Amino acid sequence: MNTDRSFHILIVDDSRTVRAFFADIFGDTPGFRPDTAASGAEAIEILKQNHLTDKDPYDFLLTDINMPEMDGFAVIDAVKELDPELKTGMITGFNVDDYIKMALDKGVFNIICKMDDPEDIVRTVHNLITGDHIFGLGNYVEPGAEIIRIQVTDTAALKGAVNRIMDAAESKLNEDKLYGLKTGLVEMGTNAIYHAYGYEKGSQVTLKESEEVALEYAMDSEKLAVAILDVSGTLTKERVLTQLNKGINPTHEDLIAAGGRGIYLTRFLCDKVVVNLASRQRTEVILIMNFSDDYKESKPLLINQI
Amino acid sequence: MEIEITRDGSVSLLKPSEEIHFDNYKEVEAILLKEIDEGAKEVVVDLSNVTTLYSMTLGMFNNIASKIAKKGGKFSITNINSDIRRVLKATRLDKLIQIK
Repeated sequence: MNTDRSFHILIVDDSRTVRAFFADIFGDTPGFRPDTAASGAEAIEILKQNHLTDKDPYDFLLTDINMPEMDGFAVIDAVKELDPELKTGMITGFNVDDYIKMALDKGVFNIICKMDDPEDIVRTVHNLITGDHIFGLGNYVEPGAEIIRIQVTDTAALKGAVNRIMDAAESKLNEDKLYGLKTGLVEMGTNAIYHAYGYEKGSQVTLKESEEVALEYAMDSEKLAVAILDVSGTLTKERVLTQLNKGINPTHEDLIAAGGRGIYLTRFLCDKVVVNLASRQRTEVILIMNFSDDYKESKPLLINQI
Repeated sequence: MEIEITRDGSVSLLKPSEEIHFDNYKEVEAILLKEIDEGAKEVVVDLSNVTTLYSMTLGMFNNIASKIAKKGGKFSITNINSDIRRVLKATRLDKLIQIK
């Protein structure tokens, strides 16, 4: 993590314990200087005094969602009125899926889980501030982990790549997680071929030279991480969030629809999914499966578009 | 892809011999549609040999269920494993696709 400069962050949470926890984890991380606020109103006051006056401006505001009087979405709205440029993020101890509809309505693409590993939380906030260390599988595994790349040139090769990664994962993951990984690999792999380059679903496809698709995988001491890459860059963060919302809060039309469940199923079955998008350049979907058998009901929302 | 078809009156039971994947689900769809066109009032797919249901197959089953319902018929799946049950529940398709 780049520690050349110190990032000034404001943490908003109505729980004294949670404020103290985040003040500790960010305060103990070189490169961060955290302040806290107990409510949205207090945060606005602090911003008026320190940020808008340039006395001690902030790089990032991280707010809890579920707070009395002013919830996290209202805090973000108020902050954006004061300074549309200030980067913001949301965090919750509740199920992130309960907020997906609101996130879609308000254009929020990142919601962090309080139950996540503190190091992951700090890394995510760092990346949201800098925009660095988002693309590339190496950013999601421990330093030194070997990254193996499999180029996919046609639909048959995708099957081969999925089988190769499943073979590597077999002794590391339990049966439920293997099922989730396989589903995620196929869903995101087919997305990268059919949707990214506009081929008819279900057809046998040989990609053109300019239509690159690759799967990369790496393992460290705790997890297997896979990146599914294409260079179309056609996927947008709005589309990803819309598809997730259709899976979580389906209308009758969504239920009877023939398609649109791939990303929702992948997020449901994998431990963590990060979607990185560079418009018209690159799409990178990172799937993470932890070796531990724990299953977390609540998963963060991590969609980054540069 | 081989599909074993057993017909009993207007009931057709279809059993794929292997996984339904992104490159063969259209074959399965074509065979199911043919059964409906040829007068099957009830179509049952036996998933004994299928361990994983991907979204393309779920969508295809949705289409088949809708097409046969319009003709007054029924579509169902049988012999599903616990992972497939979990996926159907998560996508709420267990409310639309009958499980036998």
